[in-house]
Amino acid sequence: MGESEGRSEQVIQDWKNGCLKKIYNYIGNQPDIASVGPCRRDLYKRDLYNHKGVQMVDLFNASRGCRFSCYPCAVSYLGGRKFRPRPVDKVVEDMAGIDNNRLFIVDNSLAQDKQWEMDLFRAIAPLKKKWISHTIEDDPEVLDLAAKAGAWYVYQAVYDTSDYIKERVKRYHDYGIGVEGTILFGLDNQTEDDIKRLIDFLGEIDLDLAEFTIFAPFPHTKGHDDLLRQGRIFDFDWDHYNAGQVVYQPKHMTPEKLQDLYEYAWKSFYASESQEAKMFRLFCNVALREMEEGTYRPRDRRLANKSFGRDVDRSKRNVNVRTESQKLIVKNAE
Amino acid sequence: MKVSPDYYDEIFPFKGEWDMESTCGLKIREVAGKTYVIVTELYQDNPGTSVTYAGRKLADQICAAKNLKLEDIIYLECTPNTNSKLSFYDEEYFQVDFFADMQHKYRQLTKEEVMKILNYNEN
Repeated sequence: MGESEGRSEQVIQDWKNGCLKKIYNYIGNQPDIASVGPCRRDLYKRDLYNHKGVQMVDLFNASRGCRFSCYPCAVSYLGGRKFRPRPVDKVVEDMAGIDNNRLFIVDNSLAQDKQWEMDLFRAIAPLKKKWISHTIEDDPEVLDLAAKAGAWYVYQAVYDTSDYIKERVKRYHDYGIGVEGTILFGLDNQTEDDIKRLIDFLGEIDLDLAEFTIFAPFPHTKGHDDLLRQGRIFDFDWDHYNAGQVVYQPKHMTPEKLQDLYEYAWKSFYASESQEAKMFRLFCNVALREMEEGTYRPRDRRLANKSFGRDVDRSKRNVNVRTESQKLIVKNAE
Repeated sequence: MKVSPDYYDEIFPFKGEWDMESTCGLKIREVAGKTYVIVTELYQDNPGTSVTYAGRKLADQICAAKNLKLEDIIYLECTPNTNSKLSFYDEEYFQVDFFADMQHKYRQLTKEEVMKILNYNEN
């Protein structure tokens, strides 16, 4: 348990010697972050991470831990309550070795150490990778560096209907960075009307994508502890903690109403344009940038009829009107 | 989100889930012949398991360290005010009755009850 850098060798040795222990407990005892080296990505079966010939993003960690203890989040417990950025030169070395130009930097939030964040963006810019990430510092200089470093789109929490959120989304767009809104339903400060207003608000802020979740009281979060003390958790089946099912009694509505609002949000946001079509727009944006920079890789036609290793059912065609730029991408990809 | 030291008399280190190094604030008050053990969540300054999640395991460790018997104490969990803009971080006190099946019983204390315990003077 815990982080494995510098520890796996002992486990393997014990196994070879026939004295494997039941538990290797390193939880809370994090190794030096500089010891985190490149993943063995050569072990990937890349064909299984491919949709219709398009390679999916590689996941990447530039840091671990989080100094924020957000109400619903367990990351600061799991990764440590201190932000642990990897040395920038290690990040560059690791990133450069990935045989994929599109990445998802999965760090909880890059906006935890402004200087490191700016140093990171300057250092990775020459790699010409395109990447998705969680929040970036809301600062013009940082956003400019992020854009130049290949920021494709970011996940941004949309938690209220304020001008701040509206402007935050606009600022990302001003720098050519797309935005996928992450919208959490079911906190105690939300009434049914608040949730409906929030759903309506999404139509005003020009999000590229949206992802809806129901608050799940994950262990080791304050949300869990509060609901546990209040006797409001009615479902302890871990399989239902998928952020799409209500497992507790919401404060201002029934669990059924919250579930309905969640389903309504997905349908409402993607009513005029499907999730796949919106994703295709984002894909076109990044492909155009790659074409300009000479890093674009046409899709692998060998896998055109495969999706994550399975055969594609071509009888269910997604009919969408494509823009001129989208047609150009498709033409080039063919 | 720093917790004011006013909430505790000492920092109590304990073994949390999977023996994870953890800490909480601790105050022990004698009030009208009863022993109140008050554990306070320290959020960022607690590297490990929360006081609520640790529950009985923490209570047992405090009793062992302070030579108390669980059946003789009134055990309170405090989530301190952290001056956060979010209402989720307001001050709350809960009395905990531990049961063997882990379905512990919690009762939130009123402000008056809390004040009575914290401001009690033997004289």
